[in-house]
Amino acid sequence: MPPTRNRVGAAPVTRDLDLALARRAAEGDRAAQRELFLAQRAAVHHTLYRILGSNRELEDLIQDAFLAIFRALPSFRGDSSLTRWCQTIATRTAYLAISRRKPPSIDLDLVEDVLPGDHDTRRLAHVREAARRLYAALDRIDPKHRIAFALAVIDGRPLVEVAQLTDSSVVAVKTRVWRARKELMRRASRDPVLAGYVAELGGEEAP
Amino acid sequence: MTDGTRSPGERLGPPPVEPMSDVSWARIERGLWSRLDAAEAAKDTSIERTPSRIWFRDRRVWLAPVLAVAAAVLVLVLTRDTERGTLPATTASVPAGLEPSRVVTGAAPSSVSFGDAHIELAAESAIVMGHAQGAPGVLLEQGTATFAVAPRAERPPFIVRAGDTVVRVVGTRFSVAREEELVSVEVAHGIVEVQHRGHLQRVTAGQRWRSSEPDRVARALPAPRADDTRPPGTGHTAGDTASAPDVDARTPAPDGDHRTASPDGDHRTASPDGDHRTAASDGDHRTASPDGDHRTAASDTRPRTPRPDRGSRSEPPDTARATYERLVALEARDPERALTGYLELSRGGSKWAAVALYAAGRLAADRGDRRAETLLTIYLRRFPSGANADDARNLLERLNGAH
Repeated sequence: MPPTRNRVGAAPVTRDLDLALARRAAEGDRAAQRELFLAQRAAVHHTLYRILGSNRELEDLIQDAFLAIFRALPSFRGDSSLTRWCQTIATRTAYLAISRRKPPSIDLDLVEDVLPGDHDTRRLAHVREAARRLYAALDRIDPKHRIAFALAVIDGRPLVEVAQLTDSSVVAVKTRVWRARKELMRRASRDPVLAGYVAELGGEEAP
Repeated sequence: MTDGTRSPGERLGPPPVEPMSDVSWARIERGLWSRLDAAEAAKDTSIERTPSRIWFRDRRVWLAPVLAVAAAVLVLVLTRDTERGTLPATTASVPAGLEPSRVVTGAAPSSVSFGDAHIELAAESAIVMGHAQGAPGVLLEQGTATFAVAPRAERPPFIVRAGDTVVRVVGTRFSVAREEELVSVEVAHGIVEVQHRGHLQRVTAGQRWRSSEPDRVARALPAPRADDTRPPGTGHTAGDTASAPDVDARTPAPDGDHRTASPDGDHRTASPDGDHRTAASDGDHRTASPDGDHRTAASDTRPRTPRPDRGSRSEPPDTARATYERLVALEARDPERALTGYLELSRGGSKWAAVALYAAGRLAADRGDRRAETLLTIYLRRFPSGANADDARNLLERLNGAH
């Protein structure tokens, strides 16, 4: 699975421009804030989507993330790209949201084995169904493990990048991914679809 | 999907990231700026002063009699509410926790409980509920919300904010409506105190207050429908093009002259630098040049393109200018879309925002659209000394006179 470093959210501006934009936005310049929002919204959305698994709650979360970004702008020093910095805050926002909510009270039921349609349609349906089961299982594991797994395994980001986004060490991320995978496989013991999907997605082996 | 084993060619791969719709992004952006505005307003020291402190500091003379009246009304409201059991059943319950909660309604109205308050939200409305310094508070982002609040005798005050307007509740049933920065408060029974940019007004049962006339309290209009998102007496929500029942979709003249005759005269967009041309007798409402275009209005039927304000020498973005020109041309073919476009342009930060906002108000007035009054009022609020300020005032007077 290719890493997403250059696939999503690559800032279209240089670091100096990032700094200038951040400074103007931090001063309350609404035009700059809007420019920043438009430039970073795809990256923020992508990060949140990967962690949460759907667009269902994302409208409010994206707002929360950007409010946090605007609040934190004065501390942006340009050590990383503005996109990476925004993704870090989005990850933190997702962590807070996951930590607050309660796990669902009912388990997923298996759905019909054979889905109608042509090959591509069936494949997409399979992916969605597998992803639905995966995120339902992720709902029940530790938020930190979930985020590490979502970013490193589902989104295919390098561990170093996940470590930056989660403000953790690489070793910690590796351990979280491993634990998440182990927990998922345990939960998937009666769900071959989920088991197959988790195995297919791969991820880090035991640290 | 019978088992988990697949050949490499059949691997499912990661689930695709489903994009969000433009409507969702627009909603996110609107909510974001609204929340950002609220956060910035909260920093304002004048706002941070609690209404009760302002009351004590500025209105000591009134304190005793007002408290007496408030207490009497409180007792009355409490008694009536208890007797009637007026609080309707809720569809959702929000614990009065410290974390702010946001409730947004779509096409259908909804209701929510917040601590000891019951809130009915009209369609297309949004509120944020939370606590500040231990007191429950609601920020009305948009739309209309009707509140039934338990008497505050021993409880902390219940505060409703809508833009620059702060409503302090003594214990009552009332509604607050917000459209852009125009806010209205209508009290069904009980009493509230409304603070707005230094003005403080008490609004009692059957009365209505509007931010456009902050010193005046008027008799309330008939109760709005639950699904009506309009602020009472302020017209349709900006951008709501489908719900205007009284839109006068006039057909342009076949000779290409797309001017729409104003029922009461000339509504041209005036020059920002003082171009006050004589109104054409045929109801010419074309947009005049902002920099002193002295062409004879009656001899030229083309919509005029304004140029940047003389006070600001830098040329406005070409895109804004081009957009404005397209909208002027669009007025004849599709005035509703032109109006929507003007509203979009007016939300931006370009120098053309003022011109576009007035054009929206003028076009709405020409078409008999009830949003005209609201748009012109917002224009005057945002650009009190704008190039079209006099025209906007005149037009507003005519509209009010027509009512």
